[in-house]
Amino acid sequence: MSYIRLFVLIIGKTNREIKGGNEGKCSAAGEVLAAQKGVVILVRTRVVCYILLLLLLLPTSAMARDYIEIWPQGWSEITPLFNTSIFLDRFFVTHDAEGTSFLSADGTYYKELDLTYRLVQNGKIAEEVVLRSQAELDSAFLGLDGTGGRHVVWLEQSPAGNNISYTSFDVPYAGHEVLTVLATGSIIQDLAAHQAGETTHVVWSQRDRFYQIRYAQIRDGQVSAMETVTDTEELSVRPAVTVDDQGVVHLAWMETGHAGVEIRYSRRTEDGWTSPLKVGEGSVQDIQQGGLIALAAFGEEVHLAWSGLPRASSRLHVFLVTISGGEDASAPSVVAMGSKPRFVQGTLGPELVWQGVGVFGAEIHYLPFGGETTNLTVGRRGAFRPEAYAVGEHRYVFWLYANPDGGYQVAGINNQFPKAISLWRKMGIDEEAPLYHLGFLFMSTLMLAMVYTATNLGVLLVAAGSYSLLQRVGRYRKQSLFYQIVLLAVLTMVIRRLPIPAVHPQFFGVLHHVLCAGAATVGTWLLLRRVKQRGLLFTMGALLIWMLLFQFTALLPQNILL
Amino acid sequence: MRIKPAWKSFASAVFIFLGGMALILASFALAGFPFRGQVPPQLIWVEVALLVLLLGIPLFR
Repeated sequence: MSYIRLFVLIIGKTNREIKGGNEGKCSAAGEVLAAQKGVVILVRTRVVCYILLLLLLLPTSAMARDYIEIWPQGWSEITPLFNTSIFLDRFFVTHDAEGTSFLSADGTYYKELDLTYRLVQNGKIAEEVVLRSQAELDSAFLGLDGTGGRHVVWLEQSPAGNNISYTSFDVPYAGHEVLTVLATGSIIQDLAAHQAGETTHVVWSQRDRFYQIRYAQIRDGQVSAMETVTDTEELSVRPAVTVDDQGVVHLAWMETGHAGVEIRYSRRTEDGWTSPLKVGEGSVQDIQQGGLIALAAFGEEVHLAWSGLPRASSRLHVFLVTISGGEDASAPSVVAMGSKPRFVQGTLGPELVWQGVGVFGAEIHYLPFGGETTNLTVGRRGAFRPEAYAVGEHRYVFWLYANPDGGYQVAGINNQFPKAISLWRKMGIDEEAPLYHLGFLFMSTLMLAMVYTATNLGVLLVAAGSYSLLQRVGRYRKQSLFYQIVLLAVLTMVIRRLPIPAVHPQFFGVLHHVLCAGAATVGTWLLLRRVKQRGLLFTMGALLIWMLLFQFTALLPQNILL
Repeated sequence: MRIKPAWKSFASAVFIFLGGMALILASFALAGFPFRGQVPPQLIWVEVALLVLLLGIPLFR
């Protein structure tokens, strides 16, 4: 039986007891009976009702699950794919008519990694090829040329020297030959590449007294160009490269010096590389955590995403910049708190996935072009290093999970095969025991709302003082109760923004905020509409009720997610 | 003066809290579970504008 129904029955019974009491009635002898009997029945019924309610509400915390997984609507189940390692800064995933291709460095010891290519068809691994085994890998790249060819570049280090190698093969796999692009005794790191048709554009950072960015072009299994892009006395690291529809090569990297980390951009012209353009500021913290620049071209625009520290913040945030015509860079805009941004491959406009910050650790967030951010990860498992691609309207996002049995696991989600979600689950309620969960949610949120209201005492006092001053003006004093409560509510909402010590619920979007404010205002009006008294006591009472209702409704999603 | 019984006031309060909860959960069902985010700066200005509008209404009535 639902709590509401039971509550209605309880109240109904109490009403009947009142109506059926003996007060004012006459006995057969004509004497008026006393009221006491009816009162005793009423009190006894109420005590029974309260005990019943108590018995019902008390076990809710024990019977209800303390945590509900909130599934992203319109997305599939999360599919675990294969185990890998986190020794490389990223794994690769890309798609063509043959299926979904993955490149990862697998192993448990960083000097003995297997560079593994996997082809997944219909959710199953169709091919698994170790392209380089037992090597100390620094970075790698997988590109598809659109005609079925797979192109792989990797950078490996060894005491004998460091080298960049390249190979290509077809589907089905029938062997591969390795081309050494570069063999050097100097330190090389941070390899990145872009596949444009048959040409592979490769960039990396190489120590040549200072660290410089170098560029190579591989075509038809031959190195067709080898250039040094930067010439500075600072450290030029973490390059990223892309090629637009016109065939222009765009390059971005991180320049680290005494002044901090700069995000720089250059493009390749017939006259060589353009002068570096500073587009934003990076962070040493991000470099230490293996951060990379995401670079993608859409028409004449080049978009860069990276993570850095906004002013007055010590937490990494994702920044986004658009460069138009190769010269005009927009001011960096903060997308959200997080790191490891990647553009979704194969889209018409910039769509981002990144490693966001959640209550239980890292989450994977997706921002569609012109849309709103979605949390794609479910549950309490930390998820990190997202990669994504698009096929038409469908999006496929992959990331790493820490495997409970050791190592890491690639997992994926898509919006092609959405998971069916019950109405209860859409609301964040456990569909296996919805009434227990609702009861638990009601009680726990109410208690939490009381605590939050208490922490807003300063806000309430300032609001009460301001409102009392307004009440001294006759025009405001004579207004209807509804107007006065709306004014009190809006005044309190504005005062909440002032730097007055208080604890506020997390923000869950404008719609939720408006609904909370509306529900609290209407609720306060409903409760106080018959009260005739006015004055400071009434104001404080109205404020307390409004704040409690507001905190209660605002805390609901936060409490569901906890 | 007729005073509302305490249990009625209590029941009204409970129903209003339950109504608020129902409204929020219904919004989740219709618009999807909300995503945790940061307060947009525009929202603060909207609230200030609403306050100014409310304060102005009695003056021009």
